[in-house]
Amino acid sequence: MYYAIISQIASLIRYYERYLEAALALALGIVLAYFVRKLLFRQLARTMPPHMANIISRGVFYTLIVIFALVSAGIAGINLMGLAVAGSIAGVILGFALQPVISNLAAGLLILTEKILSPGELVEIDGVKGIVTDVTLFSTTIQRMDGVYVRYPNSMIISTKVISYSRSPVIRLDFTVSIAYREDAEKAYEVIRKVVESHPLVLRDPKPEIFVANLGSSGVDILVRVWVPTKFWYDVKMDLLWKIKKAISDAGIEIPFTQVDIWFRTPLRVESFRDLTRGEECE
Amino acid sequence: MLGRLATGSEVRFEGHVIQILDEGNHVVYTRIDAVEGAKRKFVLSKDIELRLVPIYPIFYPRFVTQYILCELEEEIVIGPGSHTTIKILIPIDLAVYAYSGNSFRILDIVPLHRDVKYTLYGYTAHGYPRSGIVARYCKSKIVDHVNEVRGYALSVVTIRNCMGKVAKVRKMLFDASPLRLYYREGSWRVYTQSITMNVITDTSAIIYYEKPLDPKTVPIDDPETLKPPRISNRTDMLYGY
Repeated sequence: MYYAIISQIASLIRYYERYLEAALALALGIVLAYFVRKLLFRQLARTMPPHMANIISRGVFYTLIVIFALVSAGIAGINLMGLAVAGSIAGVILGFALQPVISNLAAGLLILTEKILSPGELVEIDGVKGIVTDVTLFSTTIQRMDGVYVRYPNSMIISTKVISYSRSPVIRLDFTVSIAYREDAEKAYEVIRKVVESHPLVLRDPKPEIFVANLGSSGVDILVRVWVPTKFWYDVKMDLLWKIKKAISDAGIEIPFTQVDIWFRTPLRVESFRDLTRGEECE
Repeated sequence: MLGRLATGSEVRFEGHVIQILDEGNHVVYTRIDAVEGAKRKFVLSKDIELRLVPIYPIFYPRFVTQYILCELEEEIVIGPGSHTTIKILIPIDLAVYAYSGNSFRILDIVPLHRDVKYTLYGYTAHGYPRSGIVARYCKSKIVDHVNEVRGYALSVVTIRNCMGKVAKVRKMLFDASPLRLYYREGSWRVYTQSITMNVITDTSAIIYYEKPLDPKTVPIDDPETLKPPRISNRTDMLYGY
């Protein structure tokens, strides 16, 4: 009785032997790929950003899985030739269909390897300023200064102008201060210089520059150029111009407003009439 | 004085008045800053112990960088292969730490130097910075004594000229992470470790942080972000000295 069962099992195993071997090979392959992924991530994370290490190790993991799946299919006796032909045709079709996806993938790899953008960086992409929050293989997300998230396909990042404000530890801010022509420019210089020098976030070196940049239609334009730590540019931008304006006003220096003198070619005729609705005379 | 702030005590210095009042169920910490007209107030549970300790001058008015660039009031000139030792004063601020057992956090920063400035320590070409770091700028006096000076930490720096020509030293860059502050309880006495500066080339030098100057002093508990590195205890000055 037992002998019959055992012989049945043995014949079943013999019949499905190659399938069992294939399944075993695939299982071993998955385990191996898993450990390779872990090991690779640990090694790569020492020399590159973790998100980059994760993408590479995951790519290697899936590649190994595909290789082991093909090897297992070969062991199981599946005709790989037919699979290869079908795969080639499917590849061509998918290639056309997924062209935008593939171009984004290629651009994503370039962005990640060349470190064109990295999370936390203050950038301006296509005229939109914001902080990079995420860089993936297909897209890049930035958070605009008003808090709104914008996602860009990576192929667009590669083909458009990207301005990075965070690459340098310091950034220059320019302010234009206009004073009336009758005012003492030397005094205005001194007032502005004191404000700039007393501001802690205005760097001592590179030195601030204060000079007359333009003789404008309404007043003398004084340009104030200061260097500030990049991380704090917005704080200084909000703070400094107001402090300069306040100091100039406190010093009694007039900030001019736009004035326009109009001459009439012909003598101006002024008519007087009575506003019947309000019962007042207007001129 | 530096050290424990007892309940019911009042400390006055440099325009600050610190009061620790017992209000039954809790303790109230108050600091009035007469210069800025500001008031800081915290309500604390009774198990909290407050300590007034020195802190690196990088937290006031806000944390910008962990580097401190000290410009010496006089230039130091050292012959080839020679060395000299100087004592310098590095500005410090004070911090009020709240302790409970082994856990602590900084409650308040008490500024002792109001005219804070930052600078770029880096490479500039045609007036435009190319690389470098932002550092807290300060002027450092060279002194010939080891007496306490409130608001300053005394540091003994040995400058070695490893070049084959005369070197001129004007600046020193310290990193608040490997730099440590030590203080003596009940006084205003603050020291750093002894420091060695090796001048390597015309533009580069290395600062090494060594042993504490005075064994009777206690080190401050560094905030988490400024824990000293386990391996490298040096700062590389790559953009001149």
